[in-house]
Amino acid sequence: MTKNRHSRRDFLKMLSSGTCGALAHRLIAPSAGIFALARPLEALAASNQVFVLLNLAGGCSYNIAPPYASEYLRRNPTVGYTPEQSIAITSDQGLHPALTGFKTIWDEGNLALINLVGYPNPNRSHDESTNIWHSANRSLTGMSEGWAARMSAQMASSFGGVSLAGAQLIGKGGSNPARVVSNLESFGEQDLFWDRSEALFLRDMRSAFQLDQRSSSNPAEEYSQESLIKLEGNIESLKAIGSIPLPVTFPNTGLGNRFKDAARLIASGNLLNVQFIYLDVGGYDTHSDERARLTSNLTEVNAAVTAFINCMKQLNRWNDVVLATMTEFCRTMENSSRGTDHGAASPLFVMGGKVVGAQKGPAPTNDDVGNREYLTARHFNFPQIFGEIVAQMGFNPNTIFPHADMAPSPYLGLF
Amino acid sequence: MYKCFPILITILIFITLFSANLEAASIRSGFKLVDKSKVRSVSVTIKDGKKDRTFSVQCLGKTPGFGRAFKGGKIKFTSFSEMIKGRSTKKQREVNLKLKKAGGRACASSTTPQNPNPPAPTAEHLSLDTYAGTFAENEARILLNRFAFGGNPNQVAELVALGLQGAINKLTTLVNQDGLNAEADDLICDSWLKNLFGKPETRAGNNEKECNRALNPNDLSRFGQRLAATHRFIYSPNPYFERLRFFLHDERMTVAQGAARDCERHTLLTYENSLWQTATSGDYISYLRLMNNDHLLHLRSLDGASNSALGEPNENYAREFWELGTVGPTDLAQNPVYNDLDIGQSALAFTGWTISTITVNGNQVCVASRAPLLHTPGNKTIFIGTPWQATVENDEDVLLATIAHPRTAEHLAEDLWKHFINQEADATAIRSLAAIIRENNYNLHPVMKKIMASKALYASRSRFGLLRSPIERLAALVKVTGFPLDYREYDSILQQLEQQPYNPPSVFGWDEKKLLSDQSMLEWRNVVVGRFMNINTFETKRDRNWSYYDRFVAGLHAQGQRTSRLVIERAAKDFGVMLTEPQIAQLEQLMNFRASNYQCPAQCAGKPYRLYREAFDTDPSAVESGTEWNGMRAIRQLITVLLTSRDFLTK
Repeated sequence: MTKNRHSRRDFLKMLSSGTCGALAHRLIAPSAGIFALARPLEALAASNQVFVLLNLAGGCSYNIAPPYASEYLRRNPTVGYTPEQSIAITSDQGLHPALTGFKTIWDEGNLALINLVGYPNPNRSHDESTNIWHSANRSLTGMSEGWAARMSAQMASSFGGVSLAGAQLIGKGGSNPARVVSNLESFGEQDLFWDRSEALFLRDMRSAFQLDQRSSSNPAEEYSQESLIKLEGNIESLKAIGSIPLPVTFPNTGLGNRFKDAARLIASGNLLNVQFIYLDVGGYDTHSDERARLTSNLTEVNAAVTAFINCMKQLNRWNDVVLATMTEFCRTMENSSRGTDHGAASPLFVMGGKVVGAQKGPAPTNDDVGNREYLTARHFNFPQIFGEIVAQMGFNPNTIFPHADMAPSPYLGLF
Repeated sequence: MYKCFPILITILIFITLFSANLEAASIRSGFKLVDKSKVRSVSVTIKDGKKDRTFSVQCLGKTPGFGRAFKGGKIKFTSFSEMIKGRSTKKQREVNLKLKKAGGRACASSTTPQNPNPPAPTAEHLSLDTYAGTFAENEARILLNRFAFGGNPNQVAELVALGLQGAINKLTTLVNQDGLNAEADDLICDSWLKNLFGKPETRAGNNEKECNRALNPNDLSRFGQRLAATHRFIYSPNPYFERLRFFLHDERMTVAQGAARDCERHTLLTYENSLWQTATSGDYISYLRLMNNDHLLHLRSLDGASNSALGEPNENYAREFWELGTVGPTDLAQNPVYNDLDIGQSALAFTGWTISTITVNGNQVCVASRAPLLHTPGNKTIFIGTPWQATVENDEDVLLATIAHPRTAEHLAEDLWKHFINQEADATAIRSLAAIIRENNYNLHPVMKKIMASKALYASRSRFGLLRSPIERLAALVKVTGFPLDYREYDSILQQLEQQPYNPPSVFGWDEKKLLSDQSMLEWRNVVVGRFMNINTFETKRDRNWSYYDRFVAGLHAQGQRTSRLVIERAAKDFGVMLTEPQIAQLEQLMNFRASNYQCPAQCAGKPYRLYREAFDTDPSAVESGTEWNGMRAIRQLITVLLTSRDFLTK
């Protein structure tokens, strides 16, 4: 029987590289039936480098790294921070006072604070700007593929890219799209019967049922079929990884738990060979009462990131990890609601054991602020930063960021 | 100038006569003017001297010839017989004779019609022309699944009997729902139903409380509000109108109830009533006006209450009013529709709202009110530098200028298309639906009726062409099975599936694709297994008079040896799942074999279990309860597989 997109062979290949690869065979007992047929078709690439990207969704304020320019403070009387109110790291800029863990990494020389990062002709819609950051494509057309999917297409492991933030454009498309996982610990299937044998029989028959599906005739059928097949491939391996013990206690918050999952994926090492992890956390659309909301949000971020970094250090993986932030846009000067509206270029953090810490590009100046509604200056395009990271990991940045106006160069010297 | 008229008239007469007599002329000239679809191409190889030459020959029926494209999708077809009769060289005549002979054979054996040019006309899945094909169970199910949260076999049969137009009329005619309203109100008050499936609710809980909203507008339960919404989606006698309400809530600026303080609980009810008012009236312009005045959506969720003239404007509502509710950020050619300056100006026009506190019968109630001093006076200009540039002063002006913008109908058309028809609309299709929206002055009902009767909806490419959201899956499951789901579980089930009404992830509503990721698939499986399959069947039969046997097996066991196959076919049909023969074989194996790890691994051939034949038992009288017969295991496995199959996850 001819299949449209997923032949039985494709399915077995996926299982072999993703679920029942060489190491997975040792650590995870495959069940039976179709799973037992799976064989490794190719050796996994032995790269230890992992790129973790945290999206501060909603458009994070510049006050995550407050500039001290007098005009900026004048225009942001309630939401801005003076050197005394923040963690000063340079003469013209500091860190938000909640980011104490970031300060530690700064002091260790492994935190880069990059100013005014964006892309040409900024878009101030949440949805569209997020899509631009995810696709690295400014044209608004042909945005069906994310740059992380282009990156994972260069990975041998079908678990190379993982989204812990749902199905996002950044990981979609291409030959090896990111796997979507929302909670490793609860990633398990409830059995229909108390008898495990019956449950395994049902699962095997269901897997076979998926394979004997008629051809897809439209994108919706194709997508749901893909989700079902991926689920079969993910379910056992991720369940096992969800119980890997970690040397650090993570905060029991939404973001804390997602970073815990990220740590477990990294700790699984060559079992899955994860090389890109995407996380997000919302709440940054601070149109009103920004100061309180930003402090609350960044307190959560600081706790989760600090636990993650400590965990990586204890697992001796800190030198293998690069953690970067992104946000779809920065925000305007203060409005009448003691909040800020949608702006453009933002500060961005990159940290990791191999990262050469520094302030990259000057903080916004009085001239940058002027009478403008928001900061329109831009020092860097984000592909310059992400391109340098992926290049350092051994990937070809030009195929990941192929659009001329989003070129991954020149590099900033982050490593 | 007037001297030219006789010449022009002569030309016009000539053109008219030429066109009118073209067919007659064609006969005289030996060619026929035929519809492109009637001509197909075949390859013919003939000997030309010592060489083989291959020609593309057109067939009109079994007659070979050559065709040339003509205007209006026509083909000028000349048979080889006619060509041979005409003037030609000896060489040409020989070739034509060979082509006539070989082409005649090729045309006679060619059965597949081929279009010489790829189809330029509107493909079926993009056509809003009225569907004139069969209206049978599959088509009725499409209507129910997309416009009514699914339907059971009786509802499918009823629509089939009514025919397409009758079915549309039935769905779009509002009927009395006092009973449902009473149940919904009961849930909104205290989140309990006084009566459950016709019997008094006997479980512990405050199920006797009466609402007294006349004295206290905030006398309601937020949890109950969500339960009531789901209850209506599943049980409404007006499911089309509920579906429209859900569309408005999900696609057009959605809102979370969490934004409301206790003194603002009433705002969720107001918001919900506005959605219902729009769903029943169909008046989309009024809906926009209601949203502009909505306490919960505009003032709370999108910060309208803090957008005042006393400082820099808060642009949140102005931006989403355009991006989500009306014009959308880009046009069909992906050009921006508005710029930042437009948003700033629009935000100024929206200033002038506040929330004040009043006392109602001793209860503190927060209400939205206009505050002229907080409004930025004067003219503002929006859609600057475009043909739709407008001068506005306040929110009503923005609304009217926005409605006048052609993108408002197009953007609504885009959402309607992707929500109800398929995911593949092109610009032409969107423009044609937008034109219908404008013709009907933004009333949704005529537009929805047009969609419901369109070729695009029933095109084979559209079938299973939309993803079913968790709420739709849940409602369809209950409707198709008649399963007496515990209403107190609605909320936790939908939380598990990440789609609670009035609790969207963002102002953009729910992303169907995210709700069908592999992790979400797993949650759906767990809901199916945990909430529907692993039930106490004895209690369900006793308390709610429902059993798997009654629903899926009764009446089939005496009809032959392979009863399991009959049960599979019945269940698949009811759930709208199309099975391949290999899938039926898989399901038959599942129903007629049992797994055990007895004597494993020695005798299990590398598997963790071995199979024992245990034929599907369809006779419930074999056991005393009538609900735990031997086929129970098999039927539950079957339903689990069907509910988690691709066809049930799409619509």
